[in-house]
Amino acid sequence: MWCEAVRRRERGELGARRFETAARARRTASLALSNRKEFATPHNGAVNSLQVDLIERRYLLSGASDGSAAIFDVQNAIEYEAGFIAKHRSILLVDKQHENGHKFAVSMAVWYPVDTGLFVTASFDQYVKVWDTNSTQVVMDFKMPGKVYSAAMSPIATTHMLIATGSADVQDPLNSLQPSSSSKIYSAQQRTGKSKKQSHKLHKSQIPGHGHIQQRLHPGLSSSQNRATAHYGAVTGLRTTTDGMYLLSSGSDSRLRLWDIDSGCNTLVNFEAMRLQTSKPLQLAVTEDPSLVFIPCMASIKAYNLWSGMTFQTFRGHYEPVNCCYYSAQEQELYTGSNDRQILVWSPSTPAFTEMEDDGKRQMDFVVDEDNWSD
Amino acid sequence: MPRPAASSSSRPPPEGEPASSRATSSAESSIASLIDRATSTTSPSVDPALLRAIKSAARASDGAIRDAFRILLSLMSKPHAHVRLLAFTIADELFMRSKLFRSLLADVLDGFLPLAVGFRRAHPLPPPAASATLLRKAAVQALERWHHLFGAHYRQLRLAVEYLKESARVQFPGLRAAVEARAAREARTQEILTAKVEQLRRNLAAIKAEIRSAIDEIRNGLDIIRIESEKFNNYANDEDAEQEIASLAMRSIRMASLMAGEWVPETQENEAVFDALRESYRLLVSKHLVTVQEWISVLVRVNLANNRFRDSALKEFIDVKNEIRAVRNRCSELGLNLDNVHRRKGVQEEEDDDFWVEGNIEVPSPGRVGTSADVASSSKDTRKGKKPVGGTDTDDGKAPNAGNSPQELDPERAKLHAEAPVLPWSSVLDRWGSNRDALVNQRGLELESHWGRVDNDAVIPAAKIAELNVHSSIYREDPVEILPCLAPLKKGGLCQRRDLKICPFHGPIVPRDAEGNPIYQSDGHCDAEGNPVGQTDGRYDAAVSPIDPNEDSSDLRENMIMPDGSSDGECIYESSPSRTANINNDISDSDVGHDLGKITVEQLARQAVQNVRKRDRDDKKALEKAQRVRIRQHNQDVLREAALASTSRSAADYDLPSPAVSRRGRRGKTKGPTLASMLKKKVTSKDRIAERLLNARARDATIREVSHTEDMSYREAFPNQW
Repeated sequence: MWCEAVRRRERGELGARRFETAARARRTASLALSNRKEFATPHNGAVNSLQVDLIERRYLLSGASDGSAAIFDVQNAIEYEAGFIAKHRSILLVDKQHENGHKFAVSMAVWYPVDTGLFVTASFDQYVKVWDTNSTQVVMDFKMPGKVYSAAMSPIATTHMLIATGSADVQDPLNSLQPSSSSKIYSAQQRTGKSKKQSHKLHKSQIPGHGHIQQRLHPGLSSSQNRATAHYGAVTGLRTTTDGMYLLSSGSDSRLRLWDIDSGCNTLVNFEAMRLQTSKPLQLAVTEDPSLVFIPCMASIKAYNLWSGMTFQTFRGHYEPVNCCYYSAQEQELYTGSNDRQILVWSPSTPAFTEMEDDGKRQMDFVVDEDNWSD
Repeated sequence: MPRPAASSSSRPPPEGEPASSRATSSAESSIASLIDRATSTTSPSVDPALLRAIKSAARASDGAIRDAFRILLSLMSKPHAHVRLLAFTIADELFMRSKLFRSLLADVLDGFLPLAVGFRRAHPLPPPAASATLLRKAAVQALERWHHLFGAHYRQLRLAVEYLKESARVQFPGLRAAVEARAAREARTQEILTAKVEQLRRNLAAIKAEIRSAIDEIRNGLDIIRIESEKFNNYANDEDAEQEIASLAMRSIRMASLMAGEWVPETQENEAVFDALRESYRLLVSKHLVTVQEWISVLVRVNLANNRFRDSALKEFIDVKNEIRAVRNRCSELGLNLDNVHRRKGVQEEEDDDFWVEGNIEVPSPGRVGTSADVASSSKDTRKGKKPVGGTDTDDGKAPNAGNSPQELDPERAKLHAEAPVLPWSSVLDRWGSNRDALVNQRGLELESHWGRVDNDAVIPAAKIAELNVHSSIYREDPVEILPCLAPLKKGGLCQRRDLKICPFHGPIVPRDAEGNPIYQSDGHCDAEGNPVGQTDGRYDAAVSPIDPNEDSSDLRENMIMPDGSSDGECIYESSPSRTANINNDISDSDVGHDLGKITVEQLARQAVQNVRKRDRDDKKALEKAQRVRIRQHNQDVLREAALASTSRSAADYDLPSPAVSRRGRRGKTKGPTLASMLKKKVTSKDRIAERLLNARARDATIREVSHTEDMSYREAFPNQW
């Protein structure tokens, strides 16, 4: 069928954009645990956050509960196992052994949006640190008044360089700006829908992080008459669609809700039953065309159709609850990080392609995976 | 089976037909029933025939495999470890064979493994425990095997193994790792061997030449010696008249012995030859033979692509080895004992020995050479013969220090030595006879390793030291040898118990002879063996030993009766009225010294006492035995009662057959234990007794409480009536 699409594209029957969309959709629909690509985890604790850089779409940054953060090259593997299993080892690791490493769990690690030379880590040891990627040194650190649960930077901002953080201290004023040479701290306490709303307007594309689990979030509280509670329980995860029009929120009441950012209304999409981890912030992922949302449901990841709320697929493979997932639009791959320390790659499985690849790389060291009915 | 058609139509259709039709209609249902049958037994493993049937059924179609997968998955979630074990066995078989099954299982491996390995604390493996252990072991082993075989194709397998190893800390048997390690070791050895063979390939000619030269040297040396010896033998033979050895046989024997003993003693003339010979022999045996053997072992073990060189080299080496052996044998046959050169002792010592021996040999050897009869004796023998001589020589040299010293002491000193007490060492002896002041430092009197300043004023006066050093000794009792009881035992032998005075089994310890009979003393105690009573007359029956001071024995005497007329040596006893005993006493008193000697009377008395005691003991034993029997009987009764009726269920079971039993009976099969029965906790009689005791205690407590409350209420109701 993909040959057919290619042929139609050749003949000019299919527009470039539509061809691309169709190919992406097809690939996204066939996601499965990749046997060709794996990350060798350097972490000794739960993986809390995952992000691929926004410039080259090549470097995956992960932060883990053992206070470490690592960077992987998503595209080029360092070594191959058994000839065809690309093993991606971390090309950079910052852990407790590092002189400036975090003492406690890294809750969030984000790239500096305009350059891969910097990244930001937020940790439970009350520090937010800005790292130079090339020299692996801390270029700046900010002491926060409490545990830092989340940090984010606006990918489209041109007039400021602010890091939004969500920390445990509730008395910190909303817009406390801490001037510094290159970065400024913008401590966004996600206590009210108002703050939420403001940040939406501010960024229009990316929500700065997750709700502190003891706080409630009311995305549409101030902007409309709808004063209903968004979630019965803590809000554990937030994600806007890539076009910035919709916001997804997950709560400890095991619900996923889709909000229209412009109006602040609940779209009332009924997502099918799920069971969510309540004790940790979740990192959701949305495909770029928004059609699917990936949400960690305990030890599995579920893909829901964004508009119908139907379960599209369930990804099983982790042995412990999953904390975060990141969808790479470039490769149409899903990366998930879990409490079992693993970062798994879910890539489009197209048997025809993989078999073709296999023919070149196959080694006879391993038993060929075929039927073997001896008796 | 020839039968009328009508009758066969009336009968129900035979068993096989519907089964076969079912099988043809749907393979799924057949595989389902097969798996069901295979997993609903209590046997420790799946029936091989069933397993084969399942495999062949699964092979038929993908649908069957999917079906089997679904059924196995549902079986794996059953709360019964044995069902899971059997299901896992089948799953393992299918996994090893079907790609479809592998891919199906890989997708749900994260749910499957906890059911098989039970590594999640919240969901441990279900009972029974024995099957659970087996299941866990089998699962971990299978997982390792799967990982080894198919790990490259299934990320899930790699993940599972890594998770179990790193996070869940499940111990893998590591069989695969061990095998791989062994293979690696093998490969390394082969590498080394190959390198060695390469080296050999370069050096083979040189090695061979060297060995050859050594062998030649020895041969030459031997030739020289033989020539000499032949000269000598000829000389000797000339001297001896040939005709003395008349028969051919005798001559051949003689020749053989001569050949065997073909030996030329080492003399000054051929000393150089011998030295050279010895040297090259040593070289040959200690170096070349060993190298050759090493090379052979290397060549045998090495695994080369091209075996031609190996074979040829091996052949050559074996030849060389045989040659060396031949030379060595020849040397030893010739009696040239060259081995002594490399005996295990230090070489230097050896040289010294040689020196001593040689020096001694010089004198007698000409004489020996002269007598040709001694030809057969080897140099070893002569040396052995000489050695003691040398030894005594040295002894003589050393003698004054060691052996003769006691004789040379003056007698007075010897006497003092004899009287002197032997003291254990103490610090007194350190300062014996010294009356100097002692220096001290901070650590006290220990000045041995004092490296610092010495303060000459810090001293302890000699008087104080003497006071401190007063010798004290503790009284030690001399060890007393406790004599064994030595009474004869029933099973033979003597009692070896060592008690101070009284053996608990055989009474007071008395001196006994070799068979255990007591050696009588004047006031000896009674013992097991008395003289036969038959010797005595019937007229008097019991006698008292007047000297016996023992109180209870006198009591016993009172209880003892011997009826008249017991002349046959057997004493007959009754329960003893003391009156008669007294009478008997009187009688015996009157009879003392009547017509028998006093000793006999005493003996009789002893015998009587002994008999009474024995009977008493027997009685006691019998009583005890009866008591024990009663107790045992009682216990058994209690146990039986407890076993039967402690629980209503078991009681009911015992009394009337349960419907399950009757159904089983109707089915006509004596069915073994069911799967459900494996889950039941087995109630032992111990549990039942514990339960009963608990019940009894609870009942007692309740009764007490009830009576107490009653009492209280009564008191309250009638306060002035107690």
